[in-house]
Amino acid sequence: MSEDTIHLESLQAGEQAAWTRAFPALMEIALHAARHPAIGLSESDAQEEAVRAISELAEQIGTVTTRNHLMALLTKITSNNAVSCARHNRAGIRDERKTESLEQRQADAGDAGEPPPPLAASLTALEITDLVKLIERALAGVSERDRRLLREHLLEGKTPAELACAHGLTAEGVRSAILRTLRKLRLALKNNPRLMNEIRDHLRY
Amino acid sequence: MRVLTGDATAREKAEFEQALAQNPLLREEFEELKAAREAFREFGPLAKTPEAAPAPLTTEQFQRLHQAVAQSQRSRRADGPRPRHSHASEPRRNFLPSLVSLPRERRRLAGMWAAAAAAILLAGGFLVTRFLPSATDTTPAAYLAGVPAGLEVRRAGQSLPVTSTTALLRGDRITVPAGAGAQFITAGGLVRKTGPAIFQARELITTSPPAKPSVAQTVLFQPLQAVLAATIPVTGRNGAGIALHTPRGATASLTPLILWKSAPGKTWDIAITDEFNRNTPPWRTTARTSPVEFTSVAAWKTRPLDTNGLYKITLRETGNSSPFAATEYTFTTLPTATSRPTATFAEAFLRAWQAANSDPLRLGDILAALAALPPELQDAEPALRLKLLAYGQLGLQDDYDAAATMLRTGVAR
Repeated sequence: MSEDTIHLESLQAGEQAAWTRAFPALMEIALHAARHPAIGLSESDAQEEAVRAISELAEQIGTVTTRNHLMALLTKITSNNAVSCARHNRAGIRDERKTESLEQRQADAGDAGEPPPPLAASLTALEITDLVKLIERALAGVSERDRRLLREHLLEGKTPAELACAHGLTAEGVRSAILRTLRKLRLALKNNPRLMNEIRDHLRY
Repeated sequence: MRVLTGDATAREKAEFEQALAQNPLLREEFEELKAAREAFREFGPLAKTPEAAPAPLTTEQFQRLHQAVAQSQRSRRADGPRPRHSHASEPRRNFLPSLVSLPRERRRLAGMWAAAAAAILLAGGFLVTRFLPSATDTTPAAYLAGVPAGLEVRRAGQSLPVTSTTALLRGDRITVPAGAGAQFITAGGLVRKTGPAIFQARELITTSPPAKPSVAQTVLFQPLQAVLAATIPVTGRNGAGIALHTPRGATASLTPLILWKSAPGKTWDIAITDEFNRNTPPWRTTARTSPVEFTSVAAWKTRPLDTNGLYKITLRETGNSSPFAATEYTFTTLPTATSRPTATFAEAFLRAWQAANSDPLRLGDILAALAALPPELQDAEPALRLKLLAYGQLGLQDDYDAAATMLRTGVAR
């Protein structure tokens, strides 16, 4: 995302124009967190939670120290609220005698090879900030094409075959590029063993 | 590698599991790669990379967010942080069930986004469940979108005069002459037919309407009585200020038609400002009457708006400095917006339908496109149905009432 859409000092000063410029980026981050597949919110609930999280972020804006901290805090708030909303919704289907806990759903999802529960639930906002810095540093040394491939595969859900078609590569070439980038991310993560262990522990859960 | 990218076969997965069981170093590497993958999947969007750009927001989303943030900041200043939200104790937001949005001032309080969502909920849910197509003879099966030369529609053995908005009933017999192409708007989408072809309108419905029809599909393809019965106007009026019809909300035009409710003997001054870049010189014109073609203003001709922009349009009655003689609206231009010219007669209804089917709904563009219809078709039933949707969503109560009355009169006839 473009760096100049987030001006922390202007946001903290409550400048309306600064918030207007920041909203698309903030909404994207919040929606991404609220749409986590393991949480399973409907799109309207995800939108609702994203707006609610941005409003809570505005309350806490004075405590934010950096842009990455702001994004991390927003992710954390959204994720917590979205999980809470999902629990609330699931409690509401008891009438249909189809009680299903979020943990059960996440366990089932894990068995089916689906994405694991949100990492944001296990990490603090500061840990998320560190992780984002680490991802940025790792990706700085990756070609734009490889970054795009990783982004489109992991964030937009495109398969290697689809990406191969779109980028004029072979599917094998796409897989190699994705693996190459993941290896760089892995190396960066290994430099922060505490974070690496946190994430691995979370994935085992 | 295929296991990491999620496209391994069952056999490849089994072989890989076996390899992992035999090689602890490989397992270690695989788990670390999975950690890297999940870290990026969840936090990748937070990282600053040049190629990632956030999706644009609609005006309604901007307004909703501004409202939410303003409330938070007021609450922060007044009381310190508010208690954390509890889903168990606080009821979920209850959207207003009406096709008609609240007027501007009240929308600010109630949330314009909520009203838009309410309309979709109503039209897509309530109306459909309560008034599922009764398949009466008068319910349109399709609409003509343009009339190629030689196209004929016969109803009960009689040839109908056809226009670019003619509503077709299921039993209508359509003849498309050889070499001609005709387009039809159906509940399932746009259908094209190439001549020579003779068929009944019911044959155009080749696909089932979507389970959750769009507002436009609902408004165009439900029995009129059901549409009128469901669209109960809310109280409150858009009386304060000047009723701007277009541009409103989101527009796909970089040279939008400016259309507002005029009054005889008065003229208006118009100013458009770029809300994202205050250094951009405003677009100004004075002493105008509605409508104003963007490209008809000499100074604007070579200065179309920018894509993905947020603009404020101010209308002020010429020479009247009263605060009540001016009205401001904000609108956005879509990333895909273009400077294409105003719709022709033939394509006007099709463009209005496309605007009504877009996401976000381009309400001002619906009215701009319908304004390009020949005068005798502007108040025909298909156009009025779409106007009902646009006026209702824009909170233009008087216009909504007028359109509903004309439709009711037509029903009575």
